[in-house]
Amino acid sequence: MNLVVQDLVQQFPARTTGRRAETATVLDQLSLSTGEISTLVLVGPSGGGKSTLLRILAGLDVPTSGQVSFDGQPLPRDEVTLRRYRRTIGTVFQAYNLFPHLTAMDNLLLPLVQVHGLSEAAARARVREPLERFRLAEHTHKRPAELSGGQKQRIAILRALVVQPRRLFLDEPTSALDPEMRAEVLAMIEEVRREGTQFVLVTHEMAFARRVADEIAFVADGRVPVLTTAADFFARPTDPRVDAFLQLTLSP
Amino acid sequence: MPVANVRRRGMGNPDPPHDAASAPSYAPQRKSGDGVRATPPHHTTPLPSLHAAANVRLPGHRAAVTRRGWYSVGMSRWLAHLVVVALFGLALWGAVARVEYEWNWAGVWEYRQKFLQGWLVTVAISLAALVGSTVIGSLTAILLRSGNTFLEAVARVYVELIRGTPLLVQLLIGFYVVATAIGLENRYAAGVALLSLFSGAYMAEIFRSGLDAIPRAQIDSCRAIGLTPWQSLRLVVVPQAVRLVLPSVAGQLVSLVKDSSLLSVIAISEFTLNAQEVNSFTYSTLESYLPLAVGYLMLTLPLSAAARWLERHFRYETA
Repeated sequence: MNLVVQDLVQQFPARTTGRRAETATVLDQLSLSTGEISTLVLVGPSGGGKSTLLRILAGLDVPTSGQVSFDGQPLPRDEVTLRRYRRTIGTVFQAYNLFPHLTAMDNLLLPLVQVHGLSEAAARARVREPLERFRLAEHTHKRPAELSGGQKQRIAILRALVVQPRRLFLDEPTSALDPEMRAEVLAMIEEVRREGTQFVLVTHEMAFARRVADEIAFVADGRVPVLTTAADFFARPTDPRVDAFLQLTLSP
Repeated sequence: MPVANVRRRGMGNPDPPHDAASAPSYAPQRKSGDGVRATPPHHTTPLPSLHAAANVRLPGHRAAVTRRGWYSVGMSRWLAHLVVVALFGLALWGAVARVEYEWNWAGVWEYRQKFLQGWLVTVAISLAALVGSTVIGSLTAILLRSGNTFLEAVARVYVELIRGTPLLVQLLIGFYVVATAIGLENRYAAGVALLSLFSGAYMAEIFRSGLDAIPRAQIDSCRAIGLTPWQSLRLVVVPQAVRLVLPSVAGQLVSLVKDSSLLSVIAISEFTLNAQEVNSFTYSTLESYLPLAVGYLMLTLPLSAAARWLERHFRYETA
């Protein structure tokens, strides 16, 4: 994929003081342009705008102004076209992805049957193989509350994956997990990536970012001051903010 | 729900059961003098607050099956209910005995047909209003959250007007003024409509609170997989909200059945009006009104039981 972002601004209403409605600017004229890559990792300090940027890229929020295009195709701004766009991609959030009233199996079948028009039988056939491969087949009858955090997140990734999306967007997929569960989720992402799925992901796992990223975008203060290859990002930090960030995250 | 998590997360060791209330340990207690130091069942020092909490049945707690011969938890619950009902009956009987009331069941028995007819009318009106108020409540709840300023104002004014005024006034104005003005002469239809409008306002607020309780992240998940707003509502939000609002809805429906007794003021020949008439024919007040109370209980108790069954049916832990 080739992602180009131009002058992206995202403002939210913050609070109303007197008659004046104040706005918080989360993305401030953010621009970036990647090469032809398959995995883009967004890193940076909390509150810098990573998640806001990812939500726009995944078609969940519409920016205040600015342009985003994947492979030359600009993202639409109206909800109906955006919904069509969202059906071609997959998004996984930090937590609470799954629908708690449905079993793991029904969580997987829901988008296939309701959104993509598969018959129940066809949908079941489609999820069988990946469920086996990721050793989740024995848990399909359980509701999310009966699954471990890692199992929940792997089901969530699978749910995004079985609709055969053009690319996956992951927003801190392991931040809510214990270390060992983190490992199983990261291993799954790596395997899916090796099979050729494209990723845009936000993560705090620097070692993981280094392994999977083709390019790393450093998001801070609503902009992307640094966008470079993974090797260069860690070897030669060119920006003092990246330096400070890496000092914090890499020190034990 | 955080309380449910306390149980699952707080205890590292699920075995032996820590649910002290429903699963008492029958194993012989080892005294500290036995030579072996009594060790707590947990790897770490148990938090005293959690043990205190274990005496309360938290939502999501599954009562352990304790079966010893004929004795079972279900049986003991039935016995307890029976004893309490008997005590209440005894107290009432004592009170009646003190005022030296003279019973005359024979006079009232003559009118048993009238009681039955009135009861059936109340059943029919309640069922119709139950459906009506559920429909009105759902639509109003959707209006309350429509995002359209005008529609929201309409729904809000309706809810506040109905909830802020006595049903008696609504029935009198609604029937003698509004229904007459629009040419609705069937007082039964008018009664059902007015009762539905009344109860619908309460239902709307119950449903709205249920919709509001669904986390924002669930809507995000719906949008992420490409569901339309209507699909999200139907497949994700409503099924989860139903479980949350069931107890309140059941309470509201029980109220609705009893509120139908006020329809007697617009001369609808329902249960209460018939009991009043029997009373005026026979001058046997208690004999007329005690069957009335029992008749309403015959409607409200199954409603409560159905609600409890549905609650169990829809139960699942939130992640």
